[in-house]
Amino acid sequence: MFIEIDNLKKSYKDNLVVENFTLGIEKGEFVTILGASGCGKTTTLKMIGGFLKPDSGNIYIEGKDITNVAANLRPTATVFQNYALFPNMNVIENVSYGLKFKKIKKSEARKIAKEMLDTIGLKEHIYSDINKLSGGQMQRVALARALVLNPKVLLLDEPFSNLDAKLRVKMREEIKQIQHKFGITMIFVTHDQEEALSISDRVVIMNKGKIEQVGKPEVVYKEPKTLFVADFIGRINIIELNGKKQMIRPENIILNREKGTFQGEIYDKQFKGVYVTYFLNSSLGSLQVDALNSDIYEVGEKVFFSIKN
Amino acid sequence: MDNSLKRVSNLDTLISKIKENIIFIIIYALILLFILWPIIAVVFNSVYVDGRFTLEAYSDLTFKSTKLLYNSFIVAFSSASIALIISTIIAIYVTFTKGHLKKFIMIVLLVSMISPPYVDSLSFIILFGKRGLITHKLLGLNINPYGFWGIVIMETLAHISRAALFIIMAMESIDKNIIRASRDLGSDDLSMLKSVILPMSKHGLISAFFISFVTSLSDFGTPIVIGGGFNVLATEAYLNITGVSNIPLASAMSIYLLIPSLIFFIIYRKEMTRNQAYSYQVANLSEQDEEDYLNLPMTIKFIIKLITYLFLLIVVVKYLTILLGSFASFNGGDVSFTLKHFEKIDIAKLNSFKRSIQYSLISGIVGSIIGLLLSYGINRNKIFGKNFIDFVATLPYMMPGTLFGISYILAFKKPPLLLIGTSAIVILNCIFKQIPISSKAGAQALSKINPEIENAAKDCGANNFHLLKDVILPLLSPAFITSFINIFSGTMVTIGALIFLVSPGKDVATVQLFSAIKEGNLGVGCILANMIILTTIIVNLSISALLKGKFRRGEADVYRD
Repeated sequence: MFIEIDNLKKSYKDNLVVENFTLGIEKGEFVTILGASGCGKTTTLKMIGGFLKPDSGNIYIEGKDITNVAANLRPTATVFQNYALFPNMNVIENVSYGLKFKKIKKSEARKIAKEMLDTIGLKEHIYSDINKLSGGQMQRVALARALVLNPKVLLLDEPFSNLDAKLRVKMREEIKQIQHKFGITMIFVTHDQEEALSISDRVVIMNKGKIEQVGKPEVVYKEPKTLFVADFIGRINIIELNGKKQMIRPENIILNREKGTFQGEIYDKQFKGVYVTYFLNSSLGSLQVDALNSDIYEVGEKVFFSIKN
Repeated sequence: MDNSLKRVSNLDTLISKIKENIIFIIIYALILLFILWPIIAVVFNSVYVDGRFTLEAYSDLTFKSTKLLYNSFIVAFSSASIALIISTIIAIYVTFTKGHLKKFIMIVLLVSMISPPYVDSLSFIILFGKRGLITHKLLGLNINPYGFWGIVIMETLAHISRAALFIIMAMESIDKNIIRASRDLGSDDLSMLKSVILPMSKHGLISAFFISFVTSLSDFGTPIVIGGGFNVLATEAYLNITGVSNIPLASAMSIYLLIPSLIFFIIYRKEMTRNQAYSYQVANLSEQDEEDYLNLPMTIKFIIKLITYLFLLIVVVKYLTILLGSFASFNGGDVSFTLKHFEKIDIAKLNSFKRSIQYSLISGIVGSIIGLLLSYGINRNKIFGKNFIDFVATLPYMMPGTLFGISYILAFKKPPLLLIGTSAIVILNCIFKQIPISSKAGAQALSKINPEIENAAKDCGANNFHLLKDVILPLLSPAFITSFINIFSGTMVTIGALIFLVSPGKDVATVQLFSAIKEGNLGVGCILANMIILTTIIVNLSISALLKGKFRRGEADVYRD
């Protein structure tokens, strides 16, 4: 394993924030830590980055224990949530700042930083004032500042949370391309399940300081191990069928006007574009159903439905 | 990079931690040495007389000087209360009415803040004294204005500016949407003033009252100048040190002065020190919509205007008197133009003035650096005991000047800490007296800097030194300017502590001013007062101008989240 995180634990006074966190990450892998706010995901990332000291547990990179290595000496680089750019420096000064500590000459550092800014699409803004940049540009500067250090691991702490929806999707693709280009191992923290599912090789779902499940996006979606995971990733109906509790995704319920296993009545609906979400009262309880927009049912209609296996 | 990954032992971690934080450790040590140690020295000296433990000084004070304690309390309480009422009214005028004189009021308040002590008394004596221009010359009266009411009026006038600034800042910071919401819920503006605005300005009102109270407690000068025979604790403490050298009694007296401030301080520390570093941007009141002004009943509006205008009139008359007083001869009750006061401005006085400027410059620079580093150490570097250090470092803010001066005499009279008689003791006293201001200015600026910036710098490979040099200090430079202006002005006009510390022939302008008034050289007093006011205003204005030019961009940087 390229990165090994072994049994991390962190608490603030009586408040246990992270517990039993054990995870292995392959070289070049893109792993996302997903969870609601306060679940301990950022704390975990900060421990990996060296900004917080774990109470117990170890972190290894390429077999070396870095648990007690200071942040400025770790082979990790972080892209922070609010970018955390240095407002007293311009774009290129920000990007080349870290090279100063690698004993790289100023002229050389400028050259490297320029190349990085070029790659990342900020060629025109090399000497711009940080505060004159747009959110997306700041995000790129933060990324460049981290990448220029040539880190073994890139840590991203909710990097897109301040961007608007469209830009978020665009940056998501760019990050993915950068990862392919540089082959860097990335650990990405987010609370956005769609974001997590769309860019990760593997997703780590955290709840109340503990890992609930680790797996490929399609696996955690289709085979959630716990109710929490099922509910957190996508939406879920919990029904009792044949005396057993079952979790059914809204898209796995098929509506039909003429025939079906069960019957229900639509009491509300939400048009979502490609599909429509219907809310049903039925003998199985209240259900959410996602159906394509080709055939639209009305509120008050009585419908049949069956459950796809 | 690889060899730096090796595991380090606990001892190495400790040593490297000390190395990393050496700057803060030094700062903390300075705080303990120059703030905590002097206080301990006073307590020690009040109970150890001739090598034995005794509470004699305290019992003497408590049982034989009850009148003194009572006098001090009643003067402080009356002047602080009246000042609170008047300054609240002025603050309401400035913040919530459609007044035309707001800008002028703000300038007047700020100028008062940077005026030397006793200007009120000085003009009062010229106008209303035994040979006062108004009472004696104009009205032909022979009244004696000295005594209790004289002191209370002078101290009240001296408190109003600072108190009003506190309350204005508190009222300005109220979210205007709350006022709209309150109106939306059907409240009329008078009850909104009572039930929303005043309660929300609570911390400003409390600070205004207690700062006035403490300042008044420790003021020995006004009672000497204008009290007639009316004595207070601070005056007695002053006389006991400068006259009869009764150290234990003077120490006990200053401890008594400290107790009320300490109690309030412990209770209200957080509230009181919130906005103490007033910056000169205060003068640019935020533009308000007319609808945010209060629509109060006519009579109340009239009272608010009347009191505000009266205050303005008094201040204007005060400064005019002092300005004209420099050129007027008061002898024999006849007023005539003269330049003879200027002849009395000898080399000694000019030198004292020069010294004032030097001390203020040094205190401003060194105090700001120490204060900003301290605020950074306290706010971000979680070193042990930071709450304690913060508490100690804020103490001078509330400590009566008298006590702070006496404490330095007692703390630094013996080797290896022998500083008495040097300029260093005066400068150190000024620096540490003003530390709370600069550390709060720093804390305010820091609170607006994204804390992740520090992680980002470390992530880039910076150690603590580079983090400070490359990132934190540049970002704190606007706070440095604010702090410098505050400390410079504060040091230029301070007297309370310095009068005990300056050695003969090495005194400062305010001490010369005090002596001039005490000796009845009113014209000389006026000239000195004008010189101090003028210098402070010039420095303030030029630095503010510099600030506007240089930091217009930088400020936007820092205050971005």
